[in-house]
Amino acid sequence: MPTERIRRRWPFDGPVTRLFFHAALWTLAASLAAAEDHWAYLPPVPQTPPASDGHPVDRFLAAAHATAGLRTAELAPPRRWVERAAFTLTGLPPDPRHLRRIEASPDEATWREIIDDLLASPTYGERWARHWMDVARYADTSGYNFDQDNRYPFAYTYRDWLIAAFNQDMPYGRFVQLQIAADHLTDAPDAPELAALGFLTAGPRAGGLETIDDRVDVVTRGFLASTVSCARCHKHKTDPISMEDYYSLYSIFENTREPDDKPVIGTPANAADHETFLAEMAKLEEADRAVRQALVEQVRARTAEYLELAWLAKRERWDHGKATSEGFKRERLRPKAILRWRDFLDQTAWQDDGPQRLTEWAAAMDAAADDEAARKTLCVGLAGEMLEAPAESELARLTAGPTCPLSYGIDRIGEFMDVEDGNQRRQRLSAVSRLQAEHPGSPPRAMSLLDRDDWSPARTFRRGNPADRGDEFERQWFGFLGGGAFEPGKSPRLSLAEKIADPANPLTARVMANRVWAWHFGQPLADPGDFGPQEPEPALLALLDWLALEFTGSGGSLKELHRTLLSSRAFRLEARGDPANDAIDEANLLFWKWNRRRADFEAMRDRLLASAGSLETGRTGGRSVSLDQPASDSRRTLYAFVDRYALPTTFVSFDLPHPDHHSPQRVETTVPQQALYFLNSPMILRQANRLADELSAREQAGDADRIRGIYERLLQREPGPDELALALEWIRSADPADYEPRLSGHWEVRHAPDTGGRLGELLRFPLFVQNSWRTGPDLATAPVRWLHASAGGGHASAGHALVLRWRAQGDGEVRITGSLKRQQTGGSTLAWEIAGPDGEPLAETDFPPDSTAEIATGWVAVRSGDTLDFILRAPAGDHCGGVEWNLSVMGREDAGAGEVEVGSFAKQFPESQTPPPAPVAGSPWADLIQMIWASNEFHFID
Amino acid sequence: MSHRLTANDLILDRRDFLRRCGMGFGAMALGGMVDRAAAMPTPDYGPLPHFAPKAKRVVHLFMNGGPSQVDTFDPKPALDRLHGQPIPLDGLKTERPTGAVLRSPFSFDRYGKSGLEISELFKHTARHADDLCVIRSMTADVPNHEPSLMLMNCGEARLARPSMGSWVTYGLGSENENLPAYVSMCPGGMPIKRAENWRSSFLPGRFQGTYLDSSIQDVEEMIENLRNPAARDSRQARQLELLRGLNARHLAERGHDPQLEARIRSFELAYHMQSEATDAFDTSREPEPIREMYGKGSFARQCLMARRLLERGVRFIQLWHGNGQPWDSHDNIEDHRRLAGECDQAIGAFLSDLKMRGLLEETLVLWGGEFGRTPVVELPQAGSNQGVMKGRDHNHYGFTVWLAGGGVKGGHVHGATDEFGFAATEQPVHVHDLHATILHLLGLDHEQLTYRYSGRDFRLTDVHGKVIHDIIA
Repeated sequence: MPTERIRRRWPFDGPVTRLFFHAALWTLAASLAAAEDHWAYLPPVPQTPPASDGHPVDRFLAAAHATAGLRTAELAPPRRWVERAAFTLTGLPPDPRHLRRIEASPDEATWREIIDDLLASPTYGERWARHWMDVARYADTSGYNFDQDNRYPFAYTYRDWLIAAFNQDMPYGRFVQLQIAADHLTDAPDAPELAALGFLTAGPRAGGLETIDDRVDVVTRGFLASTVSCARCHKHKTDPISMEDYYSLYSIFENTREPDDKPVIGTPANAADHETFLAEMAKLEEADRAVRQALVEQVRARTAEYLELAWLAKRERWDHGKATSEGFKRERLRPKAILRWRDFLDQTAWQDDGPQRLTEWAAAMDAAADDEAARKTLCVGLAGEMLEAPAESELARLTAGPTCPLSYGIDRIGEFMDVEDGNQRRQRLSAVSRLQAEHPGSPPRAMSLLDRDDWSPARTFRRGNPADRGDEFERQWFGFLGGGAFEPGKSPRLSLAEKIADPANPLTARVMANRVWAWHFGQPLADPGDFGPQEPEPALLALLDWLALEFTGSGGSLKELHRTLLSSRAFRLEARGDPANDAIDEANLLFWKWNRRRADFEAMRDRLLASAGSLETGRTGGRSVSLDQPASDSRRTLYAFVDRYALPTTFVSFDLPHPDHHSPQRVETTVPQQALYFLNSPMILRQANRLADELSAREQAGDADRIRGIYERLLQREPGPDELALALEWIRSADPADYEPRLSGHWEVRHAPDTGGRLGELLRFPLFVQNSWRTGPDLATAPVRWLHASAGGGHASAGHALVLRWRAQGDGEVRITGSLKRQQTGGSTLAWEIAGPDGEPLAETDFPPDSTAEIATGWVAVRSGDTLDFILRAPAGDHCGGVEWNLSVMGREDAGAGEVEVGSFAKQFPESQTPPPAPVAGSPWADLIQMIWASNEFHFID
Repeated sequence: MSHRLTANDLILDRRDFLRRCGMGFGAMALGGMVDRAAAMPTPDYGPLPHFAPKAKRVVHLFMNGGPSQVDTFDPKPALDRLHGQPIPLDGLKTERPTGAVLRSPFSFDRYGKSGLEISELFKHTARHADDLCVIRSMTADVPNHEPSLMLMNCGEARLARPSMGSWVTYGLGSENENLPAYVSMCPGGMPIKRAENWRSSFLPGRFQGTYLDSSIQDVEEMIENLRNPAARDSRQARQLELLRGLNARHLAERGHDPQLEARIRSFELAYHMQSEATDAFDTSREPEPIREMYGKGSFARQCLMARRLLERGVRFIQLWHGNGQPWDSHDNIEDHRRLAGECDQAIGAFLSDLKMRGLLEETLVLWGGEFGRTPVVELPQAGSNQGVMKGRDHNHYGFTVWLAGGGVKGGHVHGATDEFGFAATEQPVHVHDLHATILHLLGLDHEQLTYRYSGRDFRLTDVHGKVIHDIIA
């Protein structure tokens, strides 16, 4: 059960914090010239690459190197180019054909063909979608959601839209616009483009205000690298961002709504599945309708009681808490309905000039203040008249008015729901999410967004306080980018999208070109998260401007930008350069050599699974999968289910950015948890063994050839003679004893007739229901009454012993430890014993009522297949024979070895009769594969 | 190949030193390191201390959210006198609207020979009054959690900088290569700013804190992938030997690269962590009376784990109170009673236990939050603090931390806040000064513990920090 994440509900924390971050820079900002002069707010300046031969990117860099006194590194071997390009463009291992081609003809033409090949692969879109998912703080859940299912069942459609957008080289301007306002850019109600709005809607949700703020933030930081949210409470201290700038956007997103019925944008593969899904869905909807209808009827049927309580509520000035407790005493009259009746009567019965029938009733009630029976009669009378009021009568008119609880139909009855109704409603909603998320026939839907029909005006919140709103103002484009009101008669959200995508916007193309650079070269040209005035002019601004203008000039083609960057020499430099450079630019900020870097988590896992032959690289898109499941080994890592509330520790260990925040750049850490993953994680072990088995099933080659095969498969090269010698020696010196199955075991649940002596034949239980093994569905009438066993406890039966049997796999010594506790008070005296491999008793004793027992046997030698039995008996009857147990088998392979738990009954409780597969012992070959995967060569892009 | 530190090593500049260690390590790895005791070359540490240290290890009990000084270690009778009245102080702007003076609902007593005044919230801690060195005049820069956490942990509120634990382990290395030198534990999740609180930033990755969720009972669950169910020790030792061979060849072709070396190292660390961690983090191996002394709950467990880690030579340990910001009592200061109840007994027991084992002398214990709280009440507003009006807002103008062990004066009070406990008035101690002093106690000169990154020598205290010699015993 996750503990509640502590979240501030007040509106200041994040933004004010950012404000204060910047406060420290106040002096700096004051000394800055007018913001209009800030480099990032001025349009990119057309640049001619410095005169020299070669690629424009290299000419910019060469000039910078010459100025700084740096010597540019040499070109890396052609093989490296292909490795880098595959990593950069697809995140997968290089294609062996590409390696062969470039090694055969390392010329520019071949190199460009290979780049085009990679760009044409659908796996390109998967790689770049994942980059953008960092920017878009993508996750498959909304965050903390109390007890309600927190999944976004359709976040994946946004991810899949991204993949398609990158693959079709969608012009960047359109890519931007669709993610802000796709609903205005398509007429078709089922247009796949609607999924682009997931950029706005798949974020964290910590309350209404925060959700809107998150959307303002992701738009401004995501597309403009500007932190507008600082102006939520204040004019931005260091950036020229006004509160009107912030609240213009705030108001745009405040005036949106998400349709309850998200647009269906595709059909499930299987029509029959779809039919079942629709039927299931209809059932859930009907269940919801029925609950609402029942509440409508309750409110009507108990009108007299509501009237009485409303009168009391007025008289005794009940608050919601009092109404809750009084309503609860009367079989859950809904407190909100009581108070609504009171408010209704307040406007009618308790007005001097109110409707006569009601004022009379009110007076009579007051007169009968001490006579409960009389009051009841008065209320029953009025209620009857109200419910039976003839059409056109005054009472009928009054009760049909929207403030009267009798007017509430199933559409509005939700307003009266109490906490318990809410709990049940959340369960029903969870069932809907579950069905939508899991049913194979659930069609894909877009997490779309619509403008509200009636736009509320834009107003600032003074100091960010929503209770203190400033004057209305006209929604406007950012003052620091020229300002001006949005075009009248057009959705301001669409106008915003157009303004951001406008080629004249000085930020948009630069921000993207800078990120794309960083995703190629490992480091950005300017801070990818902040283009505000405190960000000094980048050393390579001329290069950045040139790239931005090229990008815009190509119509926003990312693929063209990739071609430009990859065809430069800079992309192909050696990772090693002149050591003298270190004294000038050790951090390689001027890109005088290749930035060697570790593959990110997604690329690492994908490359590994691809080399194992497990990855399905031809399958694009689909629902998110849990990476814990072996079945997910076939899926690329970008399809991982990302729970922003409980981010898997593997993601944390491998530096995935937290999806609560926009993240244009990853940090890279090296921690032992990453190493443990390669030494011990089930996925790595599983894949190493699988690949070793696959290779050994092939024709019997000699050890050296086999090693060559493994190198070819994992590293795509021949091992050097020393490597071959190392691996050969290592394989040959392996100790077979190391690969004997390790001591482990599994549990079986059995029973046997018990006549006092040695037990008869052990019998299997025929049934497993309600998490326990038993002889019939109902314990009281089962063939062997009461007898059952679950993970944490069970029940003995007179004449039948319960046997929990542990069966060893592997050899060693074991002992049983644990504790027993009688569940009920009183009852018969039971007995328990532990029997060793030959049936010899290792421990036994009576187990009287109201007692507990500690179990601890001595060490017993076991061989594979041997058993240890825990036997629970009821020799004196099974009255109150329920027992809680906690049993563990501790083991060691020999007397000198340390002991470890080899069999916890609770953790390994068998839920089927099929014994679990024996643990894989592994082989030296699997170990060799595992260690090559663990080695630095596999991880670093040279 | 011997790798004992020599006098020569000490006069090398740091970069050369690290490079030498790195190269040496690579060469060492080539030779194959079978002997477990010799598996890690001893000198792969930072420089030795600049001068004789008073403390060898640090434990930071981080009361995240910001505990109130006037309800814990800085009694202010004036609050009782002026309860409900406007505070006669000007110009102290708080983060949110605040109102009249709010008295402390907790009583204070004098403890120990020193007569140190401590509130009823920390009765168990108070038994060690004569060991505590209370700094009542702490100041930070802004009243917001995130920048203040960054300042307290990394010495810089805004820019990404290495954390204090990273600097300390960079400077002093580890005394136990089989465990992470720097451990950050938090039950049930992470504090806000998450892993940024223990980041190594531009320092090599191995100086980053290792985070563990101390609410998890099962060690193998707490540290994911801690054990390979199929491979025996002897087999894993051979696997590692193979890996060293593969990596050594790769490194030799590429020359010095901290990223490659850090990753090689991480495997050695991980390998030995498997056995050592299982033992170190398993508090069930403690005798029952000891476990009882610490009490129940996650904080008690992590204090006990911390003691086991200290015994094993872990250099820097952070114990967070809980995920998010538990001490952030905006609505009702009474909540401090629950919070103190969750940690006081454990802290008292922890100090007793360290003393009993002679560890306190060499262990510097630091208790405190990222800032303190206002002596005035926080006013309600939409969405927060509705209807209670008994809470306190953030306060960076003056707050309290205490130190114990590790060469500080016991039973000592340093500095003071004004009559109401709002702002530090006597001997103010900025967070930079606290950092300088902690490094000093560890034998490190905060102006000399530098790391050259991208053309500049960086340090924990940047261009600030004064050692507070007054509190050193």
